[in-house]
Amino acid sequence: MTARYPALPGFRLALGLTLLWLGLLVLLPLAGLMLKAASLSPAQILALLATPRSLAAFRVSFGTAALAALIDLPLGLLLAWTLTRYRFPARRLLDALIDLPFALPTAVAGIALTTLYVEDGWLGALLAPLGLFPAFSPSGIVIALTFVGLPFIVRSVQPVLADLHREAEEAALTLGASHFAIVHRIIMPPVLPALLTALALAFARAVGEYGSVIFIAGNRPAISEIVPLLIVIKLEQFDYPGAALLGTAMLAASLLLLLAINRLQRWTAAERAYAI
Amino acid sequence: MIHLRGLTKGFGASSVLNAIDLDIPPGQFVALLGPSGSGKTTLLRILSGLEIADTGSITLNGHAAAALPPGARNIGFVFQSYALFGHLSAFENIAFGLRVRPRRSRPSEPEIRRRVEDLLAMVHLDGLGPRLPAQLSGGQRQRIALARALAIEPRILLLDEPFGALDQHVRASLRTELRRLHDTLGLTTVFVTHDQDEALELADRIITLERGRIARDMAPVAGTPTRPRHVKPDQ
Amino acid sequence: MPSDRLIGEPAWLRATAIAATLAVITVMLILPLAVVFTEAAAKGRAFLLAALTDPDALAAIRLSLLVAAIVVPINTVFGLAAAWAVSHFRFTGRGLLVAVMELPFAVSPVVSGLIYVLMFGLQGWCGPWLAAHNIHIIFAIPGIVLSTLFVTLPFVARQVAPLMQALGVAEEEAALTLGASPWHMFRRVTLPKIRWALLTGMLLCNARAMGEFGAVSVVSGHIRGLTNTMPLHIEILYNEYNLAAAFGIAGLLAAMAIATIALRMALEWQHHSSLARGSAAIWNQPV
Repeated sequence: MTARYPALPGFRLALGLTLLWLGLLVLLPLAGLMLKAASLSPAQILALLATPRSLAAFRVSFGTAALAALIDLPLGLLLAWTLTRYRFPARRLLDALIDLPFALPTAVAGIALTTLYVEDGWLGALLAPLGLFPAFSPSGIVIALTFVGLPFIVRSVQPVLADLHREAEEAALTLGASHFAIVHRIIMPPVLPALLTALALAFARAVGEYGSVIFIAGNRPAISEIVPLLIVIKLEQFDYPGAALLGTAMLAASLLLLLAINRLQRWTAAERAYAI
Repeated sequence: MIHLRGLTKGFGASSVLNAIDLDIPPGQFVALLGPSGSGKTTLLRILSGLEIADTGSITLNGHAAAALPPGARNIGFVFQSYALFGHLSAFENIAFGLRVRPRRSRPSEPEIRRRVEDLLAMVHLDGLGPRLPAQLSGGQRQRIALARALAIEPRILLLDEPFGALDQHVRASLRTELRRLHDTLGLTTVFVTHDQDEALELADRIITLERGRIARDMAPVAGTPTRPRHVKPDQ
Repeated sequence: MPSDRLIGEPAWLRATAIAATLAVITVMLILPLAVVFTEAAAKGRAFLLAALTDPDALAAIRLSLLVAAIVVPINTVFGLAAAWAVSHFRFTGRGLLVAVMELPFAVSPVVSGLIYVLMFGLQGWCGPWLAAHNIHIIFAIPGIVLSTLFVTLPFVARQVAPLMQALGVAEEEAALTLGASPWHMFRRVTLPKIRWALLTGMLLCNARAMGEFGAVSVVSGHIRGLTNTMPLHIEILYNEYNLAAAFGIAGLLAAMAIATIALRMALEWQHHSSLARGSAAIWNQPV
């Protein structure tokens, strides 16, 4: 699989097409973005990024994303565990449903979740008597991001759980290990890297999420305004440099996360390779 | 006639083939023997055009062939893993080499049908044409692979450990068939194996490779039977 | 294959886990889906039909379909090329290439639209030149196509490449020795080998192309009847408090999402042996 195939045709053509495609669609526009942001002086950059509104937007975006990812963690783990290891009616159907947040357009998810959680919505009506009004507040953002991020956790953990060999657990049982010890020593080690990867993936997606969020968020500056919305507002005001700056900041965050995810995935793959 | 001169091939830092000189006269059945890593598969792939040597020359039937792509060399190749086209029936697998010919040299549909049926009969798989590879046994698949390679009417047939994954019984009958086809069709055959007994039974000439060089070359001796002893002369 | 329950695990624990799972899936996934269809039907069938056949709605549907019809073939062709290059050859910068291909997934949709506004908008790099030649990209369909191309870029490649890698090239080599030209080899041997992964990739690409909101919202200009895709039209209707109509269009997209999931499930079930799920590191991402 690592051999070279010099006689296999099509390399130059394939590579050429790929470079053209990626160069025109991805690299060029991204370069344009960064150049636009770089056209500002460091003082201007600081001034633009350090406004209370911008800082608040970053806090909201990253904070809600982190919270949502952390909420997704136990939920996703539960789902992955149950769907992989137990059999019950409609298991396949429910398993397929996990992909819904992936396949459902974000705007559809956005208005659906809003309608569910407003005061007279199906779930909002249940929460109102408890004094909880998640719609049009940061809580609403967290709810939307939880929806968006759930499949990442489930789909990252499922293959790892499915790969686990029952015999290893049975062997541990015969050796006198308690259930807790089995979970702790045999199941968790390969699952952990996959979990962390999933966490990073969910977080990365949630940070930049727009469509699912802007309907339920309320979008009040400094309270429930996310960075992508701020970018849109700046564009509407024709503040291209400002928008570019925020965009570059988001891009930088994305790249860092991508790097982290890549490292985590290698770790996951290595752990899986050791699981016989 | 196959002439190899000064063939060298390295992968990265390691050298796989080292200045191989080889002459194979037409009609000879050559076994390439050697431990894994000795370079025998690489040599075979270079012969077929699937790999390109770093230095050296290849002459096939009087023509310089080193720059020829695999499709132009008219060499049949049977892979270790059979490499049958899973989505095509056995019939279509065999017909493939005929169907991809450019229009002017492509046989007519009835002609293709006739040739494929002949080949199926030759490998004793009459009637199994419509089956998909997944519906055939290992031995049957290998015979389809053989028939497919023979469909293009090659002068040279290369086989890369073709019987490796099969059980003893199937191997024995396939060996017999291979030798029979070689004799009947007048092929020049180069057969890679790590099984000494197999080489002794099948080949007119056994070339042993060790670490990229020819270590031993048992040329046929006059008077030595060129047929495996257990095959009757009129089969 | 799912492994069986841990031997000796108490039944009540299992039952609780299953019940909790059902609860979570119902609340988090089924309810949102249900509310879409319920709200769409809230004002009755006649109203729904009128909403869906409204000229602006039809224009939005047409535009979404048009964009998908342009984007999916383009990203399929280039995705195949990229998958071929990356799966079967080792070259310097290969890892970087794969990373660049993954970028659209990591980038916020708004940024995906922003970069094209910065390139082709009035104040963008090419803005003055485009204005001088009366070419409209931003606030027009070309801009929508470009930003959608960006966000759906990786789908086909990331489905096809792991499979190409896993299946190897023995069959392609066999085809070459039999005299097939490179194009013949690709068409008759490679494409059939990967067809289910290819179809899945195209399916996902289509779903995203029709459903993309953030990126298109930035470049579109929201011109009713002209530059609104279905998701944008949903936003307009929703902001006008025309809930039933908004959910009507949303229902169409939700149905498409369900169909996509169902088709994907069917494809994987039928051809799981020929679909490599989760292979090389950087490709191991959902969707």
